[in-house]
Amino acid sequence: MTTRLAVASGLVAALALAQDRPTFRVKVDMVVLSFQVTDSKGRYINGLKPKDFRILEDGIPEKIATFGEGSRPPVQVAADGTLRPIIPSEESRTEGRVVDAFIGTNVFVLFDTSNYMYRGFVYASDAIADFIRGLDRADSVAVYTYSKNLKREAPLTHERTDAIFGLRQAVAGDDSALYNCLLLTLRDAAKVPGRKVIIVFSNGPDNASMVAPSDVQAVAEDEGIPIYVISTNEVNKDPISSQVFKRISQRTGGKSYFAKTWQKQVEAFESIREDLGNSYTVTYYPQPNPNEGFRKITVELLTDAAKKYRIQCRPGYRPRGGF
Amino acid sequence: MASYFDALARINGPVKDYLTEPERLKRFYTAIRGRVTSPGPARPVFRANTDMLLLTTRLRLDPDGKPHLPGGMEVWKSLFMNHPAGKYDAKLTHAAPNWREPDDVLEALFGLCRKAVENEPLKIFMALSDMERNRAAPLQTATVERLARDYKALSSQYALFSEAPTVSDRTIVQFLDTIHSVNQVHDPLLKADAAGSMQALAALWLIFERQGSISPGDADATLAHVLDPFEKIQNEREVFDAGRSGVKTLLAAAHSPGNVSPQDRMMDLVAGGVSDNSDAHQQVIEDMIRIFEAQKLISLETLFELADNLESVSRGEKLNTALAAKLASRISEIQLPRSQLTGAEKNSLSYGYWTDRHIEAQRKLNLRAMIDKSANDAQKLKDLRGALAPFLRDTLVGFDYIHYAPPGAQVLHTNPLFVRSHDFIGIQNANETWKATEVFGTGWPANAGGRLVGSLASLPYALAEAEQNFLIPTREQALIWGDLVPQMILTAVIPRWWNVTPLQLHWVGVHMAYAETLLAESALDPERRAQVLATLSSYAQPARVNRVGRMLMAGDVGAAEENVVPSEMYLLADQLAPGDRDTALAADIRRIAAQAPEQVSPREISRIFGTPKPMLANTYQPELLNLRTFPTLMGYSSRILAESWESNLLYYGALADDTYIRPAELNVLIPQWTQETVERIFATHLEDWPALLRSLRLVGDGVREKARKAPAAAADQLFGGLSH
Repeated sequence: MTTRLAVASGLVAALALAQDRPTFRVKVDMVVLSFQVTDSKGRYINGLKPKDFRILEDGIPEKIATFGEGSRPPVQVAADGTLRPIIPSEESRTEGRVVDAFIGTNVFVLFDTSNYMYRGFVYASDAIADFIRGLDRADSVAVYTYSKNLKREAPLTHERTDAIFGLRQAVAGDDSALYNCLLLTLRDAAKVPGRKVIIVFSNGPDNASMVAPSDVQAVAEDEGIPIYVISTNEVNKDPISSQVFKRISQRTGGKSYFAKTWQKQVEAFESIREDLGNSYTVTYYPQPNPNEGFRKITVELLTDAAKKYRIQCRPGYRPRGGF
Repeated sequence: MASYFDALARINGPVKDYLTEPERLKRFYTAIRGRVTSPGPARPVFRANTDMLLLTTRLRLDPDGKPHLPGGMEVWKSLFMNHPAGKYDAKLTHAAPNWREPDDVLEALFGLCRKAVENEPLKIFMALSDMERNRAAPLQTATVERLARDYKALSSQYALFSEAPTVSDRTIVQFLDTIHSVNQVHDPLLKADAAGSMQALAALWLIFERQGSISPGDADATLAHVLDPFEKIQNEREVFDAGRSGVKTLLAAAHSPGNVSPQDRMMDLVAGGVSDNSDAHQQVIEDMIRIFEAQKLISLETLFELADNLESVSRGEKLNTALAAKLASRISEIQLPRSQLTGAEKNSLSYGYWTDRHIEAQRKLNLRAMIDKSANDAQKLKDLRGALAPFLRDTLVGFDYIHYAPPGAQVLHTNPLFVRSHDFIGIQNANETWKATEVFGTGWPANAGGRLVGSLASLPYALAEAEQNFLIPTREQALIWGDLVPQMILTAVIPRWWNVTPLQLHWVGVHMAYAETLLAESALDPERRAQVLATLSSYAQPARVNRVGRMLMAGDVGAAEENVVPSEMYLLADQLAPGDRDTALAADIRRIAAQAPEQVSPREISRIFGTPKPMLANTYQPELLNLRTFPTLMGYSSRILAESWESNLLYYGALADDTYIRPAELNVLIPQWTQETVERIFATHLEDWPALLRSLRLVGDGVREKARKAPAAAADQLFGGLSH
């Protein structure tokens, strides 16, 4: 009894002490930048090294902190340009496998289950399941569905069966609030460290969102999360939605696909998988830059041979406001 | 007949006795039924409207035992005989001159209930009755006449008077006159700035009055002073001056220290106006500042300092370039309004036109150029501060938005033009300026995002509606979602907990615990069971009472508890505790009531744990009406269904008592808990109240679990493997 009282009073004293200790929070904005390099025929160029390109932000050269290609583990780039492997922490080892948010891609699939998708629902579900099965082992995937509200069918996981199980729980809904739900997905993805992408599978019309596509695009740009859109509509059937899709995907470093048939949807997913597998991902801590507005990012290839290659990456971002 | 019975079965006390007097019963039923009964059996049995339910629920009797008629008989005769917008009913217009007794008016109101059209006289009757409910003296006849006459155009503004019973007749008329005066302004942009600033200040006044920052004794004079400068608006400078004067009046009425910046003090007042250094208060203020920054609003301090500087420029001094640069830098963050209308649609007859102009005018502001242009005209230099009026309007409107920001809000953080886009004009000539706030512009990818249109009168509900779909259900979207969720959000946002005492939380906690004891005893004691079911039958539907009775007889107390909602538990305990001399918890309740009667009086408990009822009671002032939950009906009655659910805050209060949470923390926790409750609802039909209760309990279980684990986790952290 005496011991318990002593412990209790000690606990109270310790808690009081903890409350007196000041807490310092420091915000460090690391920029995660993914990009693909293709030649004039659209073929991916692999095997480039950090010395082959440079990153500029508003014209200011940036020092690359880490570099990775595809789903291979990233490496640290030292000040002299040498590359060193990053040693994973003990916590990131699970069942003999390194599970690290910075290895592989964190893929968020946002599946439209509104009335508009009713006809092609089962085919869409199958195409997404196929895509999930084909992801690299290092990748993790989350499955979200939406109609008027978002539903997290499967949170971010490495387990493919869990993701597909969640996908198969999806039921058809009613109205379509694509941009509301895309915003919520972005908010979730922003909390995950490392590289992430969002893949929207929809046919476009939105009749219930409160937020505008451009506001959602701004959030995606600032968070550095590429958005890929697979629309099940033909591009000229809903030109407004099509234009919005193209803009959102281009501005965030993603791509848009218009895939009316199941076959084309599978091809679109295959293309996205290739994009993910052939991307370069670099991180850097921005050099001092007085521009608190939109900062333009440029990736330049340094070798003469490489100068004819095409680089696809997001145009830039706004420094975080701290939502 | 069924609807009439239902309307009467819900009420108790003198009003029920009055209405069920045999002659009266027959008379009012004849009025409801009417003479023409076709299509007879083919008439749908689905209840037609809620008006009758409202009438019987909210009717009051005067001390002489007669129904209370706001303003007296002549007002109602005149309303039916001489209505400016045309007759309500030809027969009633014909009969009205012969009305002598209040029952004549009641009969007319009952008669109009059977019509498919909107029962405006009843709505006027309810609005005015609610306005008079808590007043020390009834409204004067002339005031009632004026309110009845202006009801069609201005009814959404009346909730302000219901909530603040100390507002005098003079100020009510002044408010209505000021509205008419602002409506005379021809320039839509000037009108929007004047109306927006006036409404924003009135809404802030209401917030401060509700939370006690302005004392009831000062409320009337403060509102009158705020309104004064708006009575004769002719240009933007006058709008700015009126806005600034309103801010000063409000801050003075809230006893603001002289050396605090108006921006800081206003933010502090909007956050509750209490001198509380708790983490909860800090978090509330930080959340509010975050929204203020996300909306790119200009601080009061900057605006007022700049106005003073512009005034001095008119006297020949120089412009303070640092201040001007500060404003310019903020202006540069205002984005272009996104194109949401085609070229052909862009005219004043479409929504969004005037808000685009409002935002565009702000973006183009160049003070230096304006000063240079006005250099030789002393009057123009003086009027320069009028250029700041649109910014001041947005800042004031922003404070109202910030105060009512729902939990999980996304639009306020994502769309930096949301506050600026509040459309006070709407389509020109549609007179939206004083109408209820509505959400407009959802869906459709080319739009500029949803925004709010109309006045600020129902801003809390409109904001809740706008943000509700950002809550993420853990199950499929509940059937009652669209009607229930905004009301639940209101319940989380409007009541504040800064001045609530632990004793008041404990009062509710003890009541809940005692009610659980009563239910447990009822399983074993038939006499107690009869007592409990008889009490419960006043508040719950007969079918549910019978179900609970069967469960108790079978000894299944757990199942019975899941079918009695928290508000009914509270009322059960409240009714039975005074007469129970055997139970310790009942004794505890009596002891607290004796020790602190003012803290736990029915009025005080109603104010703290009640819910806002803008449809049912024409006010956002929280109160407990102890009603049976309303059925699902058509039209606006779906909101009344949601408003009749009064259990959330009682449940959370008991939970806080159980887990030793301080009242101030509830300002942060209740919005979070409400969000979780909503996200966990899984209902199977439109009146599935037990589903809401299950969701509440899930959240409660989670909180209790966390509370149990927290000290253990802290002990582990401190003492590692210490064994004892």
